Amino acid sequence: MNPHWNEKLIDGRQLLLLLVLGRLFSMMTYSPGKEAVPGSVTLAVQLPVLGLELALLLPAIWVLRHFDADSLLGLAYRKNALTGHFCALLGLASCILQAAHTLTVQADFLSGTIYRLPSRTGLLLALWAGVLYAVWLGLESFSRLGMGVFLAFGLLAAALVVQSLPRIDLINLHSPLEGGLSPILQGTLLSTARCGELGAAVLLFPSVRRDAVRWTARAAFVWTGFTLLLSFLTLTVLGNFAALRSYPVYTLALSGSERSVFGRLDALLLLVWIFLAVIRGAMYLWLGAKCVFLLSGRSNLFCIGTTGALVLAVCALSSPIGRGWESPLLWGGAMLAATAAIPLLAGFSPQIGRKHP
Amino acid sequence: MKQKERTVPGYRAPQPPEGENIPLSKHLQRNLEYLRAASHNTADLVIREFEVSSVPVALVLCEGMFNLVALGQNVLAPLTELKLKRPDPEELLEQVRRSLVLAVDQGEVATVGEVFRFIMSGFGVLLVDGADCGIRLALQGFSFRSVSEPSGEVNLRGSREGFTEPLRINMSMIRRRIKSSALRFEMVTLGTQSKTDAFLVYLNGVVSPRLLEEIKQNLKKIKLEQVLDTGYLQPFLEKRRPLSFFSGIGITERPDTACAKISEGRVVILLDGTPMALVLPYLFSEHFQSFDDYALRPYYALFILCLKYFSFFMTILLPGSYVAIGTFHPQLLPRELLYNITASMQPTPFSLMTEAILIHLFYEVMREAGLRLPRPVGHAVSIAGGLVIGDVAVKAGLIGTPLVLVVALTAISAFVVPTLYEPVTVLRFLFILAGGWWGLFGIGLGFALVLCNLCALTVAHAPVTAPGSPLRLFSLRDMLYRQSWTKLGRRMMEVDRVPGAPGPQTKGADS
Amino acid sequence: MKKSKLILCLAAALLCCGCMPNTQLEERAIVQAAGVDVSDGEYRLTLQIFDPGDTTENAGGSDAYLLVEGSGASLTQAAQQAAQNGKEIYLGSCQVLVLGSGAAQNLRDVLDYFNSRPQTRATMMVCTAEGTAADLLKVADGKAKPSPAVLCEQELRLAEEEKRLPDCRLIDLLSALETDGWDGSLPLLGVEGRDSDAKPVLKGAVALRGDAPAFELNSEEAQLLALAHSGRGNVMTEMYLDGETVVSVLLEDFDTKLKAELKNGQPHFRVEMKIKGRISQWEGTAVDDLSEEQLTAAQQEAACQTVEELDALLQKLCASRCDPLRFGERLQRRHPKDWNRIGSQNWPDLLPKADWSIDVTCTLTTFSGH
Repeated sequence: MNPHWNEKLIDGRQLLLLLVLGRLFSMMTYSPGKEAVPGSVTLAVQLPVLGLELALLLPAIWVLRHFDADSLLGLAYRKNALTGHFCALLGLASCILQAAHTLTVQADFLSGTIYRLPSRTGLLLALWAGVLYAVWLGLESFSRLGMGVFLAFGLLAAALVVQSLPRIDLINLHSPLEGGLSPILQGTLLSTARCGELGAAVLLFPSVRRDAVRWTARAAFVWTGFTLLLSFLTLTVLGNFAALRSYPVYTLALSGSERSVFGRLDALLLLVWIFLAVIRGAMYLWLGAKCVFLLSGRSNLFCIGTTGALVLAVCALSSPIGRGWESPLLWGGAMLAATAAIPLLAGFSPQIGRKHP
Repeated sequence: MKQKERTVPGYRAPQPPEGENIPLSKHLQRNLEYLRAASHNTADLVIREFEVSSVPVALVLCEGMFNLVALGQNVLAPLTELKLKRPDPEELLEQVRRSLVLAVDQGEVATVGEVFRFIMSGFGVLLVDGADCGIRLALQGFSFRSVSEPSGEVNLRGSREGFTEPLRINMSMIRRRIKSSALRFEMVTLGTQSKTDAFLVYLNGVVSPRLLEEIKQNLKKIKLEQVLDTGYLQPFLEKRRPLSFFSGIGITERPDTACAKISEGRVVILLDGTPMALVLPYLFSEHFQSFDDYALRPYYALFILCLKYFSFFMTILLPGSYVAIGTFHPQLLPRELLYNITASMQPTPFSLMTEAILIHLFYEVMREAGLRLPRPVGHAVSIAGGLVIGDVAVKAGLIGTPLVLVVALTAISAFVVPTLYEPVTVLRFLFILAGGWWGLFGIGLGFALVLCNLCALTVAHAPVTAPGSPLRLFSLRDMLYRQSWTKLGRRMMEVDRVPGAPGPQTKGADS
Repeated sequence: MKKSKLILCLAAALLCCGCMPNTQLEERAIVQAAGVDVSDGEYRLTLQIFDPGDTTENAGGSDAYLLVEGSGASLTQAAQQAAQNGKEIYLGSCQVLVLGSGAAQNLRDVLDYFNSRPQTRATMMVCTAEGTAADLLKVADGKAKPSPAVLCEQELRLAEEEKRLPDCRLIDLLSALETDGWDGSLPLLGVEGRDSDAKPVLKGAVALRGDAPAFELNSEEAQLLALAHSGRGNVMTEMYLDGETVVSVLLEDFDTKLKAELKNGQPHFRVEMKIKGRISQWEGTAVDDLSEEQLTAAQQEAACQTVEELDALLQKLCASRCDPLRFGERLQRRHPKDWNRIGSQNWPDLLPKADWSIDVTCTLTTFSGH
């Protein structure tokens, strides 16, 4: 299947789904026990984070409008090949980090919490192969899959709400200002860093048929809504127990009564989570492969294969890095940097020589 | 990539019969000799030589293909009574062309190949000494299965007619239902040896020209000696990438279903000799619809639709999930059920996965045997199967009792959506393996990839998963639920304009 | 060809991951209830395990069980010893965790062990036994039907639903242990009856201080503690109006608001409770014929009685430096600066100095709804 790197493959609604599902994946991996800031702070900073996210999109939108372009990387190449290559490299690096993070986190969750395996390698390989196949099928395939997954996630969230409603205890909500201003700033930064989907959106703009910017903004509202809802539930239902477990949303699903149907939400969540991992991993891998195509101009097989190999290499390296890998500042920071830097480079670098084909 | 034709011992490439393009000569005897030689004196070639007003003529027929009464009354009687003013071949041909109506379908043939094709379709060919052409006369009178209720698509409401083997009868069944000048039957001949007639049926002005052109191009690529069923055509009409368990081409044996599809801008392909018509493009959601859905009350149609989706997912995932949960995630089972399953597993020697594979394999063997055997013996197979699976296997300690329930549920639900039986059966085994090896992770990953593959599938540039994904809310009125005809009838669906398909085009096939 | 090679590589990668290590159901020892005792630093684990029987015909159903025991320096060792024939201990179906008095002293260790097991349900019930956990699980000498696990669970679940107990799930206890200003409590089960009639019965609760038991509450106190968290319960109480008339009242609906603040460096608690109930019997008068004055008098008396009971309970709790009503957490939430000034370590020491105000309003109706 030809990924048609430069074609408009998806519509705005599919872009929204891709971004929201990607963001939901990183939200599921959120664990208050490991974070530097308390859960109440994370909950409180979501609205400022939304503002910050929208603000981060502004340079990209301005540059695209001003130069009447639909692709930032294309614009960078139009300016000069060096800027183009640099921007594509930046995009590639951040996409690879995001994809590798998606795969390792999912494999860690499965091997650590679900199967209690000594090593995650087998799971990681299986997931990697699956994601690579999804990329091979093309952007349309996994973005079409997004509709069903989003529906399933919505139903699951509704079931979680129904299951949790009687057990919500507002006593667990603390004032976000308890620790002063510093945790709030830290929380804002961490939450924004989790949102690699901003960068993905900027890179996906040229593949969207219409209104890409508007749908990205809508996606930001949707994921903020979900984040608020699920953070509120985990905080108020689980209280400090959430800090004891690595994956609070999963723990929330696990805490249903053993005798009720809701006691099985964890299995459904597990299934939906795997779907999320496949979609998110495939999205970043596809974007990475697109960057490789811009850099090399080679065949689909080469682009996808190279990106897949790079992702696998980063996954292998992430084990020695250890806990540092869990910090969103590492894997998310690169994406944020790309989101901010690519529009600026593409917009303000000088026009040199003939236009890149 | 262009495929290189290799020669393999014991296999030959499909070739057309030789010497068929030779034109008829003016000498009757030479023509007859050539016909006999070209047909290797086949026993069913009937040649009757006689004279019409002292002009030697010959009637060439194929044994068993023509109607003897029609031949006597409509052809032989008028010809023998014919008196020509000027007894020469030109005058005879002129009379037959202008004055005599020997058959409803009457025309001329010029080559030996045409003579063979027509006589083998039930025509008679009149060869005249001194004329280098023959007159073909439609005299079909072969026996065939009468129109009966389709066995594979039984419905409670709607017509009881199903397609039958002769093409013309199928054609008439469609024409009787759509009496519109826009309905067009376009004939193509397929198969180098079999020369099977096929009709592309579509509504002019509604069908997408691009779709039609694409189908015609694909049919031209068919290089087969024999085309005996529509299944032979399917791989030529599907896209080669990606490889998938699912298809974007549907099959129906109901003329009413075919008409409904035609009115939505689809092309139906009728093939001579088979009651199975191809419908394309065929969206995935259409597997879950039946003609009954449109005849029954909407709320009940919705209920049936939900039931079908549920059964489809159950039949694919239930055995795999059972194995995965039993092996890796017993905490998902309600306590009492867990105790029962554990107790039933105690005496069995195999793992849950092996048991599941074995019993599903047994079931498929018995299904296949019951299907092919003569009906009375088939019943015996089902009795033996019921005993083996239901009782003896459990008592012998080969499988646990709950698994019998699982296989029964799975088997029954597979028949709720019969058109998807093939992918469902294979996927079921794959999911048992995935569940047994990797638990719910295997099921989840496998299911994600199967769905991803399905989403990547396009037919005639339209994604098969449309209009569910890419989503168009309006279209769900006919997919997720079935609106009342008062609303549904106001706007007809155009299949080439489902979401995800390329934009609107100018309609009309004649362009 | 390249494409098919890629697909082959991916399929090979998938297959190379191989089969994950798994345990078949018949190789698992399905634990229905677990009991932990600690004496002289040695853990003793008593497990009630589901007995699947030998063949399908005599599969015991959910009632068949075995009791196995193991001991060791740690719970892991004890579990290894308890595991029969190398079967894997499976805790996903464990209904009840019973802690002997010794084990309750090492609460954190025990709970951490169970929490870290892969399949443990966070909603598993935890209770403490009057004697040893092993004795409670061996009630009726292993012949009880339904099994001790089911009996314990039924008793605890019923008590929890009727609000005779504060929440006693694993998740609640672990949350309490993790939260400053919140002490948990454990239900206390004892054995009643003899031989085959013996069954576990709720005797009250054990209030915790941090991760160790502080003192025992009787069943009335345990119920009041549960109702002080709001909810619907059934408290049948008898009052003497004017010192002679006996009135039976059923208190049903409790709506409680708890507040904590710091006054002059000392904790001050406020308890506001609104109770709805019904008069079931009035000595010498038909319940439907009661006058407004009589009703008001009964309401006041019921309120007074509840205030006294609550006061006694709070005195007992504060004297023992226990905070199961989460006053500390409330103070922390409402007045974080005050909380920081005290320091979470010092909160238990401040409790004996606490004072409180209790405001109870009781609304009574007769059974016929007047």
